[in-house]
Amino acid sequence: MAEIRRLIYVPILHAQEDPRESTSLNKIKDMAKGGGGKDATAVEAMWEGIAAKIEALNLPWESVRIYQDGAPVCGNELELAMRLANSGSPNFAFILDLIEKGARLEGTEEMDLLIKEYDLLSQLLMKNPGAERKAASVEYQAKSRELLAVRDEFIFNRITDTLNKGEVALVFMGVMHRLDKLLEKDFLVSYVIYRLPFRSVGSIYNA
Amino acid sequence: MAIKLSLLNADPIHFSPIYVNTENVSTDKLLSLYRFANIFFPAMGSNLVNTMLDMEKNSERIIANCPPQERRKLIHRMKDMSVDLQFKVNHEGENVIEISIHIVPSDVLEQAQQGRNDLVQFKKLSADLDKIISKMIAKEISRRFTSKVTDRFKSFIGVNQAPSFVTQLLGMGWINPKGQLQKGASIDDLLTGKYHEQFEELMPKELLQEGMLIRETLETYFSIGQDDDESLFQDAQNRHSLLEITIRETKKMDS
Repeated sequence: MAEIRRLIYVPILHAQEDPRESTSLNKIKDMAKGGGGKDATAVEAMWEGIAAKIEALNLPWESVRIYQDGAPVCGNELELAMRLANSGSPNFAFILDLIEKGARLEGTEEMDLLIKEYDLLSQLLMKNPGAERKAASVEYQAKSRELLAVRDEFIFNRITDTLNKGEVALVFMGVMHRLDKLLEKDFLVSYVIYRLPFRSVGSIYNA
Repeated sequence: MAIKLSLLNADPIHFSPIYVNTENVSTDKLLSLYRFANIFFPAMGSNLVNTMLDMEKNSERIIANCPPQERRKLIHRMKDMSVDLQFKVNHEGENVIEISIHIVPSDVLEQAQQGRNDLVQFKKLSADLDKIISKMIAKEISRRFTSKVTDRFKSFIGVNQAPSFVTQLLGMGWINPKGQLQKGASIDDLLTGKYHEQFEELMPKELLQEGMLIRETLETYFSIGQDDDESLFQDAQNRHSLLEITIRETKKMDS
C-alpha cells in the first residue's frame, strides 16, 4: 500500500511592508517567541500567529519542503526569496528563517501563469475609482478565478512530483486558492488553522 | 412558532430543505461534550452531523438506491409533512447547545430527484458550508467578548461611586443590573458609535483593542460575497507589487 504523504496547509494573506521597515529575520523570530508587542500591525499579528503555531509543530526541518504562493520554478528560488524578504515581504522573511533551520524551498508556480496574473492585476489597477473600476473588478474576478484553477492544478502536480517519501510539505497559499481541495485526494492535509474566508485574520490565528 | 433560519439564508434552491438554527448554537464546552460523546456514544455524535452534511452535499447519491417510481410515491404521500428535531444540551439550567433541525421530507426527495450536478452550484454549497463554520466561530468570539464587557459593567454596578456612564446606560435600559447588554444595545454602538468616548474611559485598553479586532473580523466576514471593491483593490495592489518584484528579480537573475 502506498504511503500517504503528510502536508501542512497554511492559508495566508498577501502583504508587503515598507522596505525601509523591512521585516527582519530577528523580528519574525522575536514574534514567534511572543515578543511582537502591542503595536504590531494586523499583518505582523498574522505572521506572529503563524510563526508560533508552526514552531509548536516541532517539524523535522531537514525533511520539510516549503511550497509558496507566487514563488516560481526558476532555479534560483533561494536567491529570489532573499530579495523578496529584503523588499519587505514578511512571508519570505519567515521562509528564510525556516530555511535556516534546514527546510528547503521548492519552486512552486509556473512563471508564465504568474505573468498572466500580473497582467490581469495591471489592467485592474490602472482603472480609475468608480464605475470603471467596478466593471473592471467584475471582469478581473472572473478571469482570475479561471487562472487560479490552472495555477492550482500546476502547484498540485508540482507538489506531487517533488515531495519525496518521508518528507513533509509546508504549503503557504493565499486564501483565494482552492488548492487544498485538490490535495485532500492524495495527501494527509492538516491545517495550521481551519481554512476560513476571513481576510483580516490576525485574531483568528492567535485564538 | 419559532422562525427556522435556512443555512445562512442562502438561495433555497441550492440546498435540500434542512434548516439549522445556527443562531442558537453555542460552542461553549463543546470540546468536552464531543469527547464525552465519542467515549459513550461512539456511533452517534459526529455521525449525526456527518449525515446532515451528507444530505446537504450528496443527497442525490444517498437517494440513488431508491427507484424513481418509489420516490414519486413517497413525495406524494409525504406532501405537507415536516420533521422537527431538537438537539439540546443544558448546563446549570442554561442552554449550552441548541440545534433545531427542520426537515421537509417531500422537498428533500424532490430536490434530490432533480439532481444537482452543476459544479458551480456544488462549489457554492461547499463555500457556504465553510461560511457556516466560520459564522459559528465568529459568533463564539463575539460572545466571549460580550461576556468580558458584561463582567466589567457588573463590577461597576452596585458600588457607591458607579461611573455616571454606567448609571446612564442602566437608565436607558441598555444594560440590566447584571451588567448584561439588553436588546437593542450593541457592542458596535459602544466601540465606535456615539458612546465610544465614555466606553473608552471605562474599559481596559486591551479589551478595546480586542473589540476593534473582532469588529474588523466580523465586518470582513459579512462583506464576503458582497461588493467589496476597496478591499479587493487593496489586495490586488499587494499581490501586484509582490509579483512585480518576483518577475523583475527572476529576469535579472536569468540575465
